[in-house]
Amino acid sequence: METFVQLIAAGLVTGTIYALIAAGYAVLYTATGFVNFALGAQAMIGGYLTYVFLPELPLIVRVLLAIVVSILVSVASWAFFYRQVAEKDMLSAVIMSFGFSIVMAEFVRIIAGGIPLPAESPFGSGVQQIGILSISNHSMAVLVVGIVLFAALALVFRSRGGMSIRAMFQDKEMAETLGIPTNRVVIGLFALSGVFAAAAGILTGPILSMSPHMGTSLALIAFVGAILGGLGRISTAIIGAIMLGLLETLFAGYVSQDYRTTLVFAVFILVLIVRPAGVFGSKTKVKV
Amino acid sequence: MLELKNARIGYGPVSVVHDLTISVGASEAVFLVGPNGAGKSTTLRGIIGHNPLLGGSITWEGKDISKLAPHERARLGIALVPEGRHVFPQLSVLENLEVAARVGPNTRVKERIESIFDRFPRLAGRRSQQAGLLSGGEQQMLAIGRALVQEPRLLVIDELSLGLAPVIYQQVGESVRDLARDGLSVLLVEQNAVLAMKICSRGYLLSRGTAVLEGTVEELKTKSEMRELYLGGLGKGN
Repeated sequence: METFVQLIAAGLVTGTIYALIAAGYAVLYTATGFVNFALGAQAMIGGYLTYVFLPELPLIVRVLLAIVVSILVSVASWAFFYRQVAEKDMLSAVIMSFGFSIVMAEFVRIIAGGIPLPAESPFGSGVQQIGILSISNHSMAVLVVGIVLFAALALVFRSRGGMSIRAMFQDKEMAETLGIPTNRVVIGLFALSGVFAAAAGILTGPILSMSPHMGTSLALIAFVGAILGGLGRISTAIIGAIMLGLLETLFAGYVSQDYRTTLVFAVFILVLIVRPAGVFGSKTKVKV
Repeated sequence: MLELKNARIGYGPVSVVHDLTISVGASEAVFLVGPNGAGKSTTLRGIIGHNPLLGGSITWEGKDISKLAPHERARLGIALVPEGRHVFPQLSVLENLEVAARVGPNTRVKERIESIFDRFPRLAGRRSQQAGLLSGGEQQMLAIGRALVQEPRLLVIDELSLGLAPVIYQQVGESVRDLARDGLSVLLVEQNAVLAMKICSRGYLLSRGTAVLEGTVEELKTKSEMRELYLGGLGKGN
């Protein structure tokens, strides 16, 4: 029982980090049909800015810098690169984002080296005992930040401005015809996905330690999670990513640690065959 | 108010509308009719800004609008009721109107929405229902309401009657005729020429991307092309 509780907590923590990236995917996908695989690399850069590059600056400054840089990378990569390509061929743009994530990883490797570097959690190394569950301060922080960000996202979409965003998700051309500046809204959503990516990177660092290509695997696993729940809606993408985190952790704890990545991609293949729109997705939403 | 001169509109390098000159004056209701592929919808897409102008000019009150994005043209007062309605299916009736009402000046939003419900009482009873669950006729009313709630100066309608039962499109047609009589400018693309002539005072017959006939409803009624092509059996029934 204790192991189970422990694994569930660990799974929720892992899943929340995946979900931050998955939420970014879903926000952009519903708005543009584009999957931005570079979100993982943006997370990585956010992590390096927080833990590696500028140790002399105060923590809060490093965190803010990580978020700002991630927003800028998000917005600029869309405005200057992906958009033009996406208008002609969406798949090319998606592959381009994957290429861009490798460029970012190599860039960081040249500056900081390829050896994984430890990252110290801003929340200290303390562990809390809650009943039979012992959970680190950092893990708790992951859960709290996750809940706060997802709640904020929900509030944004329920607001008046969010109503136009939902209208745009349902019929972009009509929204534009009504006078909603959809290009500007999309830029805003890229900025939003940048915040989520930075948060994922800052929270992952102390768990996995920092390495240049950490973002690439994070991007892929979060994508599997989003597909598992359904990429066509933000809520299902988030739930799918959390489910995948739980599944992966339970599998690693009870079955095999070595095959956990194999499990993730086995799930991916299975979902694509059995329910391509995701466990919660409706058939009409399939656009993958 | 709106003027197209020798307009060439298409998709990428392919032009569908080759050389079209039409105009809609203030407080005037004008229709475009023509066979499939004549370029009616493409013309509207060019006016709204979804398709580029490849040649000629599109002006609004004398100013060139061909370079403006669709959302900028909307803010000039051009509102579209698109073919197939295109209501936002997962938003409620009220939210559909609110989204439209809050674009541009954010004033008298409630008042403007209530005036739409006064005009279409059937929508008032369904204000919290998801728009995707409305009947075709109700969706058409909502699409018109969504355009009107923006208090446009020109209402552009693409296929008012398409997919609607005759009883329903007669009703919707009457609403549009009332709007036109109250002084709203209307540009109507309509496959049903009889209906179009009831609503509008002037019109164009399009064929292969150009206007082959134009005139007032009275003039057009006497032309053999219009009679043969569009009024035929339909005309007697009405």
